[in-house]
Amino acid sequence: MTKLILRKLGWALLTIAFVLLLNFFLFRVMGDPTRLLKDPRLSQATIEAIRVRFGLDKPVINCFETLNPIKASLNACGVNPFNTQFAAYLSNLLKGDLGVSFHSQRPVAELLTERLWNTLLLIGAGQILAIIIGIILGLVAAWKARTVLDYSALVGSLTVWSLPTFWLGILLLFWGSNYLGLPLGGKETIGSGLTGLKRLGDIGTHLLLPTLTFTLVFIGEYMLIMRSTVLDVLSEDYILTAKAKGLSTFQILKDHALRNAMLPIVTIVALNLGFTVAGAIQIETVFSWPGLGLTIFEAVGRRDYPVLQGAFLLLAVSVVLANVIADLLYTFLDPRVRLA
Amino acid sequence: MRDFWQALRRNRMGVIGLIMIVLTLLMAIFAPLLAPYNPKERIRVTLDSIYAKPSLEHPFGTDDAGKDVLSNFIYGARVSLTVGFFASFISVVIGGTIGLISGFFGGKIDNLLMRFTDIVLVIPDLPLAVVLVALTKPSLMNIIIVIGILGWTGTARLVRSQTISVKERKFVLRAKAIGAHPLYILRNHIFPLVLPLMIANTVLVISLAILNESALAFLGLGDPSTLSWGQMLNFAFTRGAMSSGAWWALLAPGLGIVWLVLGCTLLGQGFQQILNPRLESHHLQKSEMIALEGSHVQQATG
Amino acid sequence: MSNKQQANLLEVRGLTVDYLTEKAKARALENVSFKVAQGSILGIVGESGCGKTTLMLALLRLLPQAGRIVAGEVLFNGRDLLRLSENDMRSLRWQDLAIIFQGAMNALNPVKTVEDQITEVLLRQNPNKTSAAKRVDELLEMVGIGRNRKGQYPHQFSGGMRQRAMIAMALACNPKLVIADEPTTALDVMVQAQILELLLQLRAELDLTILLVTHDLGVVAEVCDTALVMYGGVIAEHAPIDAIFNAPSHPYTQALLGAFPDHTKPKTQLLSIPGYPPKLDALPPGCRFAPRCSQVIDICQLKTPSLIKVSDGFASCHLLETL
Ligand SMILES: Nc1ncnc2c1ncn2[C@@H]1O[C@H](COP(=O)(O)OP(=O)(O)OP(=O)(O)O)[C@@H](O)[C@H]1O
Ligand SMILES: [Mg+2]
Repeated sequence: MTKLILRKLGWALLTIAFVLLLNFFLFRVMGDPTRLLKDPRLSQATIEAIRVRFGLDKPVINCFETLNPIKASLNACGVNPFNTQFAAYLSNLLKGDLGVSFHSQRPVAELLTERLWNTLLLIGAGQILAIIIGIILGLVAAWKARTVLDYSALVGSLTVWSLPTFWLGILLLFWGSNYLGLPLGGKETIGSGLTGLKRLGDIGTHLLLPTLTFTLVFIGEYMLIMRSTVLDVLSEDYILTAKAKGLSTFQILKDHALRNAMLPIVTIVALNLGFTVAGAIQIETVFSWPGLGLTIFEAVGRRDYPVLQGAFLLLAVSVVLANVIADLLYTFLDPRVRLA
Repeated sequence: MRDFWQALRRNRMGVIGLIMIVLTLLMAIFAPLLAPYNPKERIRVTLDSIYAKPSLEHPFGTDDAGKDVLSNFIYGARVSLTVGFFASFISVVIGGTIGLISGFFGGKIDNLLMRFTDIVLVIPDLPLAVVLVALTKPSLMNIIIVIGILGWTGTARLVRSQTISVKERKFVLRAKAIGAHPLYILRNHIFPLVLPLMIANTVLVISLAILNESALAFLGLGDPSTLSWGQMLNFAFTRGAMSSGAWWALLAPGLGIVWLVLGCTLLGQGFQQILNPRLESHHLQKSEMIALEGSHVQQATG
Repeated sequence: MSNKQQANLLEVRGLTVDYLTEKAKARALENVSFKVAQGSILGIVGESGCGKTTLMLALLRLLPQAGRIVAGEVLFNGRDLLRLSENDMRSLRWQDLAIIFQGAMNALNPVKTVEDQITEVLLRQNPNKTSAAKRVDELLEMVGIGRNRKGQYPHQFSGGMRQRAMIAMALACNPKLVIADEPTTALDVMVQAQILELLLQLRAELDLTILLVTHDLGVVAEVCDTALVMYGGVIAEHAPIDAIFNAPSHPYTQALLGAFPDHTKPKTQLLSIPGYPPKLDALPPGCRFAPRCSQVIDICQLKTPSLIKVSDGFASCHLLETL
């Protein structure tokens, strides 16, 4: 058991290391760093500061020196590995320093933490609703397999799955803002000066449509998965035992089917985190919800590379960590694995 | 193959999906004949022609540049289909190769490749695609490549498990025993058996690629020299269609995406039902269990 | 024990069951009738696929969706189970009729503790948790499982223990009738003997009536009072154990015994029955056993024999009619 946990943590670390490397290479090798320094928004002093901070005058890493377009004339190999851009990148990361935004000149780390919570709020609300509704629908569809109810739920899920997230968001926004008087976007009414409960209510109305979009987009998938898992569970022998024991259909669904089918859902939620992040980017963009997704959208538009790099890193690492947590949770929830 | 076609014809979901895809394909191919205007044509824009309501002249209205939405919509199908087919081709080739090698050779190679697949699987697709396209040039080619190289993990896993189950079959073992070259076995014995599943999977990969393209375009990372459905939505959304109440500029391109993606999803679902049919019967199903006269059960279950 | 004259707890009359598959309709049980006296053990034997499980499930109305009871009566204490409402039937299940399924490996829910799974049925009767907990201890003790293991999950039990847990669960509500569908298949001989011993002992203590499905004629000889020999969905012979083993009437019973090693006469040659059991969707006309029967006569191919009374029991064979 401990061995299993350690192995999983080990893989998570390896994945994070891969993400760090990827992030470094993307922005330092593919994204020509000289371009960073030609940004007209930057003063000469800032450029100099960036050079030093990222060690742009040093070789990229030991033998990849030639990849560095603004390298000083150092000999190819035999460079001190601690005196490279990669080393500088890692040590900055360890210090929690993700650089400074070109656009707002604020530290990226500060900017991102501020927005992380908004994203978590949106994702949390949307996912929880989607999971609960999806599970219930899937359970009922499996129970009523091969009936009209089942088929309509199936077609409905496939349709919802096929909707581009941002488009569904746009439609709901169009409808909500024109006919329901809901706000056009943002997290709260700017300059309203509301406090306390009133402010929470205000945030709630702003959260309504983004959450609805999120929920609708993900219900379909959870329903489909739940349906097929429950179908498997319901054809197991222990369900027949439960029926022979005289338990009511409701009891069997609740105490036996749901419980056993919940386990795969944990894994699916984890595997879905990538899609969840994709959903958040699109929904936040449509509703101007000030989270990490909107940050990415804005950074792309402003060519604000430090912010883009930081946001990508934060998202990727969060997804990896959430995956490990889900994996461990699964291990813990399934007695066959836990007590193995 | 003939059997497969027969089975597909009997699968209602699959047939509907296929029809939806073929209709879109026809629209894309015959775009010049179908579109009332040529989107590349220069026009004189007047204030009245911006976001003009649907009319006889412009059945789907006009967009922010006074262009005919219907014509843009018809031509836009070309971009979505191009990206969908080519990107998924890249994904399926990469995923198929990795899956075949991993499943066929097993052992260390398998372990290594699957670990790599797991790592790539965990990294969120869209942010990475955004970063990659933003750092390079958002040309159609780049978009296709980026979507293609990010979408292979599912295929790899699927092909691997199918390869593993296929390679234990008798004639494969026999070929091995008489010392056939592994690549020969892979190509002539295993690949043909894995192919149907790969085709079914491709359809789903296409739908994901189309969705990803539209998301990238909506985020402003579309090829500026073309006009995809995602870009039409991006322009409409960022250039005041919402505030002008120009729903026509928002509706058609989105419906186009849904139509095409749903077509692929239905076809994929149909394929899956044919390839691994399941009974879908279970212990809680109400059967009209008793067909006796005078039984209460009959009345109760109606 | 067979001479204990008591009222019949269970009486089945003309039970007929079909399975409807996409392609065809298969008649899995045809006109099955038998009686079981209170407190006795009925052994049900027959080749694989002859409909033993189907019969047990039909008694409890637990057939899968494809299964359909087309005719018959199942009188339990004089009440016809087939004509009860779904709710009435549900309240009888486990209170009066419990079943131990073939292969207890999968019959227990893997993510619930054994205790939970037993408690679940106890709480149906009486929602008092402490008395339920006490009863669980009592039951586990009865089947020889230490109470310290009740909080464990099925996968932590051995096959034999799982079977015992299943038996404990079946006894939880003091049922009148226990159906055991091959409770000892897949267990080794020692464990098998222990489980059978347990069933006998419990029968004596609790005055249980047991329907025991098995492939093993030795088991039948050891523990049963009467036996039901089935062939291709019909009853070949239904008689007390003595009659079955010493004077079998039906050629199929005779063949079965011939194929079974007899420890008292180790030198005799074992005879397997040539041919295969009939396909249910393509039954031969006349007697179902005719194609494999060594004593077949003309009428066997034409007319289905009916169950007739012979000295001690019943059998369905044309040879017996002509006698
Ligand atoms: N769900 C089903 N649908 C269709 N046919 C079925 C179904 N279940 C059982 N059958 C058929 O009914 C017949 C009787 O099956 P049953 O399980 O009752 O046999 P059995 O005597 O219990 O066999 P075994 O000794 O192997 O357990 C078999 O021919 C079987 O193929
Ligand atoms: Mg059976």
